[in-house]
Amino acid sequence: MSALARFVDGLNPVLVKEVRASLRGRVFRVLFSIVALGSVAIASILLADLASRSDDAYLGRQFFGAMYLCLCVAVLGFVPILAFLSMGSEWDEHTYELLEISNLKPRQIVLGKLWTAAIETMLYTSVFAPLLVFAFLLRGVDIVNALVVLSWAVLGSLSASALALAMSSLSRIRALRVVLLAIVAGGCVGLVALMWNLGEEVAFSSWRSGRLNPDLLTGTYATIVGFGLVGVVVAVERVTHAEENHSTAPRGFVTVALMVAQAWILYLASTGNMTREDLAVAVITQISGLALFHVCFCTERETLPRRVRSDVSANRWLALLSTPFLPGGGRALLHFLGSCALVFAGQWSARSLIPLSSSGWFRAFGEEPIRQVTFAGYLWILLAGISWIAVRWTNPRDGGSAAANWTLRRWVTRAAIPIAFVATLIGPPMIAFLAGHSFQTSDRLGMVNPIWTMDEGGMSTRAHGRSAAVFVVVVLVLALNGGRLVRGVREVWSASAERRAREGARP
Amino acid sequence: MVGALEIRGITKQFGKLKAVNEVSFRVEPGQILGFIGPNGAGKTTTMRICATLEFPDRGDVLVEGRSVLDAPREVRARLGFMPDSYGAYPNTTIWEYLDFFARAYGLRGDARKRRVGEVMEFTSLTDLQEKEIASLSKGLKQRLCLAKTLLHDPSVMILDEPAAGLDPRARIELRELVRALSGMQKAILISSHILSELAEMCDTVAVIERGELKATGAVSELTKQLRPAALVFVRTLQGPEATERALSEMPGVLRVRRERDGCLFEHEGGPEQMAQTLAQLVHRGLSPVEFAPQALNLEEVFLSLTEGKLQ
Repeated sequence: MSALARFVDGLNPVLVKEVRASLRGRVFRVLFSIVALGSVAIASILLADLASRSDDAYLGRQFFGAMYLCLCVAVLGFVPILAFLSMGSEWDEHTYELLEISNLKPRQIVLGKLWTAAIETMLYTSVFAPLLVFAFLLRGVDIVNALVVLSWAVLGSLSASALALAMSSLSRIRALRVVLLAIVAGGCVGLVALMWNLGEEVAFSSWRSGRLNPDLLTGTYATIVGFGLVGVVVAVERVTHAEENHSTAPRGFVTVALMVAQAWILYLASTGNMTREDLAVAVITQISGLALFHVCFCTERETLPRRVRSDVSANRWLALLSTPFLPGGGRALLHFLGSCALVFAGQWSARSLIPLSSSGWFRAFGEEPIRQVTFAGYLWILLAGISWIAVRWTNPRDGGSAAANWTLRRWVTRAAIPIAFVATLIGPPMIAFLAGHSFQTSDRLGMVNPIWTMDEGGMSTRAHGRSAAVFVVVVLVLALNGGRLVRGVREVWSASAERRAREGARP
Repeated sequence: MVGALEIRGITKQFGKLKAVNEVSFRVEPGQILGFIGPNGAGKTTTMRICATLEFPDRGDVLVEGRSVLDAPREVRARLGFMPDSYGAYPNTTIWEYLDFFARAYGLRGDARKRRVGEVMEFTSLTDLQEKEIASLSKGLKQRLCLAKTLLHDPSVMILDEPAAGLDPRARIELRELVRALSGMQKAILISSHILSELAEMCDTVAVIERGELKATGAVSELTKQLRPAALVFVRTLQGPEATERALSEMPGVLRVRRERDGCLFEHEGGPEQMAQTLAQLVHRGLSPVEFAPQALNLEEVFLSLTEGKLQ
């Protein structure tokens, strides 16, 4: 068997199947023909129109811009939508269960579809490659910058496809997926416009400033890759069987992402590229993101699914360490609290690296005690509110007739938490406005703005006040959820003991 | 001893509906077990639990000793499931479809090509391998799905309504294939609404209604349980009246009633006593032209065991 044959043999089966079907399918062939013929037609028209101009650099830029737009439409518009339809067809054609009962893992299914999107992207890019090279030869475009924006388009296509797969996996109901498709299509249009503008800006920047902005470069790559990873994690989580482990991979992903974020924050702080305001915004963004992410996990069924239970480590210490990553609402709360601790530890470390400077926010705010109370209030909503509502609304026990009510309650809770969160952002300013308050810091609305309050509360020189507020919140969270936490840990402990007994009983 | 497929007291509830309640039975290698019951009885749920697609709230299913709960991947490697609403990919040929699933089951290189060839040969799809699935008839799609189910050479097969919507020829072909699989010592659990079809295929049946198993065993045993006395139809040249008169005076004959141009009577004895009854009829001057013991068919067994209630 040749090396090539061995390579093809070892490829992801879904990739092989999808590529075969795509190449034979009418949709891809029609779209590819439209793109190929359209790009040549547009290129010809542009050249005929601009040929009379003597400025080659201008011609090169115009030509590159037009071709880059066409490429963006193909790879950021068509490819993600095809990925969305491909995942949806698994439910519509009743084929997903056939995949489920084969040896394929959910990760392989999602990645197979993602690699297919990558192949399609490469095929589209290959159409535009000669035209973009031609644009470069006309001058007016810097080669490094052009390669950077091309890589953005290709990576963006993969990332958008991953998100499209995630969106498609959200519902198996066809009517609902039509709505999701409309959202994806709208997102693709926005992404094409964004990437085209960004691409043009960057591709021609060397002709203006002479160098690329490294922050823009890093930030864009990080954002594209980050969204792509989120898409993959969500898609895999959604297509995993209901009784399998849905929690460990996303929670692990969040932990790693938070660690990377803390490292990045520390790097920025140490190099003097971060102010305390930036740090506060970063912390609040992370906590808010965590809170929204944990909406699904806090409402999870309390008990471990049997398959997961049998997989708990036999080593009792490893089992305990893995507890926050195992399914269950109580264990999700442990993960949430641990993640918050990680964020605050990062903030604390970064703060020591940032010199204290006069802050516009700090000057503009009011009474210290009120500030602390408001800070505690927001912290409460962000931290404890989630688990509190979850405890009140979700049934911690599973199975039997309770399950039907539990599903409804879980969804009500999932909807209620973000609504409550958004209400904390919109509600206070509205109340303040109706009460006739006039805030000097009109752009931030002072104390009624949670971001401002968290920042000022968190950055207060009165550290004991802040500590007291955090302490009160943590105690409340633990008091409300103590039972869940203990049950969550105890269950993992007993599952580990069962596994030890099972393995001990084996001949 | 562990059966090829062993269902141990499984219960599954969807909200307030108990779809399956304490169902237990087993299928041995080479056995074809017909799983029958009205719509909504719990057949598909039971089969989906066996195929690791659903989870029982209580109980377990073992496939060659492996639990669907604790070792689902090992179970899937040993079990072939053909669902009632099987899927087929458009823009894919028969060969590509089978090649894809062979890859999905982890078959590599020449072993994969050989296996795909074997299952196409077995299901008579070799000549059609380049045909797109979208253009296949229902019968051919069903055969393709069966071929897919056989790719990893499972020892246990679960076929959910495989004959639904097939024309008579396709049904006969399917029946032959299932029999051939049984000959390969595969344990087969098959459900169908076409009971006459099942009767010709199955050694044993399990009857389920409203989630509860009503009976399980060989069709002949169930018949014996349901009707201890044999039922015989007799027609003579002398007519039903004379035959009825003669029969009612004979020992071993329990009940006689006229039916069509003959009589139907219940007989409590064995084959020897039945032969004596026939001899006595002749001895009394009657000329039998038809003497046929009436076996209970599967439909009658099914109707006797079920109440027709829906849940």
